Amino acid sequence: MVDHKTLSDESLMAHICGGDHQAFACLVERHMQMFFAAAYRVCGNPVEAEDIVQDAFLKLWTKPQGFDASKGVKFTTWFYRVVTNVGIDAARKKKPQSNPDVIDLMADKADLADDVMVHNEQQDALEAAIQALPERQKLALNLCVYEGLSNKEAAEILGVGVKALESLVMRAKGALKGKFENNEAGRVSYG
Amino acid sequence: MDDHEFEMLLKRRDVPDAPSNMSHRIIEASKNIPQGNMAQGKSRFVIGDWFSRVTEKLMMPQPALALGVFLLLAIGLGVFSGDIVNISDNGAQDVGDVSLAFYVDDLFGADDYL
Repeated sequence: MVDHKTLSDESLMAHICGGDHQAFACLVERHMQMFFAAAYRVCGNPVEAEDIVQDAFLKLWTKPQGFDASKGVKFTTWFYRVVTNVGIDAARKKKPQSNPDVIDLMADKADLADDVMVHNEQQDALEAAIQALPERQKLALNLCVYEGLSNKEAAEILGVGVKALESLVMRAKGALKGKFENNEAGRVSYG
Repeated sequence: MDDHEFEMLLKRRDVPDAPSNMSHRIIEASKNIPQGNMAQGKSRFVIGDWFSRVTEKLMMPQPALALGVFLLLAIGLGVFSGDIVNISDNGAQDVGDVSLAFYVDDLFGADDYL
């Protein structure tokens, strides 16, 4: 009897290719939270993130041959790409909606005294600002800053060179910083 | 806002916890889909998928495609213009047709419309 919990991700994938459902269950339990977080960062919505992760894992179950361990790619790197692509597809199918203005989110409730509300408000503003970034900049920022991947891994997932990835991250950070600096300036002038 | 403050701000981004039963739901859902069957299930909707892909493509602004289609239409109209605008060799007949058209038009005066 194989103890699936002791197996590496890549070995579990080999078992899944052979139709081992226990191996699939083990892989889902091992990585669900991590990929839920990745999906949430792509779409900014917990309900959509659930759908994205479920779709991605079901794709993995039905077509495990998509992962080719012989290429030396880590399972997590490959599956980040799957989750990211499912997230991008979902976002494209969704009707475009205007992102709430960062300044509005922060300024409208600026006088709320409750610390929790202020914290939530900053979270909303940060999330809205990140979600408003161009798609590739947002993905680059997510992979490098929040998922903690190396530049090489992140570049591989996005299908760009390392230099291009660094440029995307730099532009994303520059855009965010600009927004928050403008926001601070606005608050000073209105205050 | 200096770089340190900005980095701290970025690090404050929270992610909600995944629902506790989510793994269970995914595992249960996968039990109903035998391996390789998801693609077969979708094959029933190939025409629908194809149509939606085409419409998605057309929804996107594609100046090169638009110019190409315009040029093809223009060339097509040029080549087959003989069928569309039929100019006969019989000048007298043409003059007769035009006169007849004016004649019919003359039968209706301004009073007819008032």
